Amino acid sequence: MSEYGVRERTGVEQGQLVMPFYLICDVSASMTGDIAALNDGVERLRQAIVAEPLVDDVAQICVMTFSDTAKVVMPMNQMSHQNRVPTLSIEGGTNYGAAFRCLADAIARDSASLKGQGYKVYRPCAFFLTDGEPNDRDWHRTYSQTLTYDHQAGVGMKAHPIFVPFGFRAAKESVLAQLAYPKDRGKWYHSRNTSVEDALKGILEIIMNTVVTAGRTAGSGQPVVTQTAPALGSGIVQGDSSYDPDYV
Amino acid sequence: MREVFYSIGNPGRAALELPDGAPGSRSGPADLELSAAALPGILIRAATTRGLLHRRHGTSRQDAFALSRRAAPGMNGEASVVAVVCDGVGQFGRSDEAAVLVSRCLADLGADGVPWPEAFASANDQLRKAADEVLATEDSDAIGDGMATTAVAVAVHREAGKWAGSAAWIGDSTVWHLSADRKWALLTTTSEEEPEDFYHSSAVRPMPSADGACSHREFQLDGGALFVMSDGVSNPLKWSSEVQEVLADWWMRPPDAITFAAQVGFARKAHVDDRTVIGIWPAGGDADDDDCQQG
Repeated sequence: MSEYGVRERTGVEQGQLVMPFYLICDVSASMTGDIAALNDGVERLRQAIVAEPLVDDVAQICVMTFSDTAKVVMPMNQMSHQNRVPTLSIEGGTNYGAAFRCLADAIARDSASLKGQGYKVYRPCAFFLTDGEPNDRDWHRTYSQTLTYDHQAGVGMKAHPIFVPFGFRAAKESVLAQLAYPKDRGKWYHSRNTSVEDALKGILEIIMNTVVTAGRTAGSGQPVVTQTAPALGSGIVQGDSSYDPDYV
Repeated sequence: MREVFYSIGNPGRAALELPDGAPGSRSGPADLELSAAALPGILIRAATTRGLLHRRHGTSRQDAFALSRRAAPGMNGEASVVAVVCDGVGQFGRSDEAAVLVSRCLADLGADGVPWPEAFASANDQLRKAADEVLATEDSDAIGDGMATTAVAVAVHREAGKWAGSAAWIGDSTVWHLSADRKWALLTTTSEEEPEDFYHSSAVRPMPSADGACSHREFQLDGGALFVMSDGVSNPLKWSSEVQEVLADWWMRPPDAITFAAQVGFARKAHVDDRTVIGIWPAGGDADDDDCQQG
């Protein structure tokens, strides 16, 4: 058992509250020099959650990667039941659509599974990390079709996640702003830091704070998914969603 | 590792590992309040405890209860107990004060025999006035100094060996009947059901509201015991047959007040909110068919 491992009776309690989080990491070729920093950051995130029993009791995390294709590398789990996050490795291009479809499938599957086991499930939160522009031209249409919901028309993914995009290096702010969702409270983040390692550190710090704050408040039945402002001097800027379903 | 005396199922890491935490942010309120009381034919146990969430954050308990007795007796001279539970809305910093204010106000009005709709409207007005005064002060903050609470109130007496009374409520605090055959029945149903897609209790409508309108009902129940509670207990009770069975084991008969308070604070994974329950049993015991102990 690792330093952060914790012994606890496992098994689901009927009516147990759970807050699902998805971490979707860009592992395209441009991340080659930064993959070690990304792996370190994700493992530190796991350790931070394990160190907070209130958060660990309610938060469950799924880690996914995307490049030309997308996949789940760590299925949804309580972090203290996971000794380490699997090592992420470099793959190919930057296909956002593959990530969106994979995330939508995972949310539908996990939600059904968790509810089937007797959990009471909060709306999930998805953190999307990317260092580049999408290679797929229809990324926005795929996003709108898979991960958003039109309340007036009753069309789309009713169980949509709170989608929080994080960009660095070649990722464009205008693209990130289209991805932040829902529109009325969605936020995006972009690191202008020249050091990718520092950018990842700052980004993962924000994710850590968001998960811990939401997890600490979830037990009241009123989780606060506060998308915290970046630390001063972090080189990260934050903006409001400008999601437009008709964006071209 | 903390010792957990009462647990239902997996207690969760928070219950086992978290230290007691700093005193509440406001001087005065205790982590635990309890009362034991009796009226002719009725035994009452009441407890409210600070949940793990508030212990971890060093914030005050936001649940409250109040008890009183109705000056006007039941139809045949029986005394009524008035029992009120309030659950302050966690996102506002002074909701603990809202819960105390409203619970005492409703208990007083209930004791005077004021019909529940009027009593709730009056309590709503008082809360609104208090909240407005706080927010009118310099440097006040709508969230940090905000005040909001749910409320559920019961006035009940014994009549020909049965429970007869009325209940009223705003929000998701509830009244339950535990029958002699150990079945739990929710008396305070609401149209504010949980959304189909995801659970989120902030959809619940609290006080102060525009007019303080409450849901209310009369009831007559044969046998068993009544429980007025906040969602810290009613949610796991509603969602889990295991919790229903264990609480029925514990509460078919009235425990002593200290034991009751410890049981109200039972550990269960991810259920870390404040807990409040007022239990109302028939004195002499007809909660089940066996001879009941009196606490």
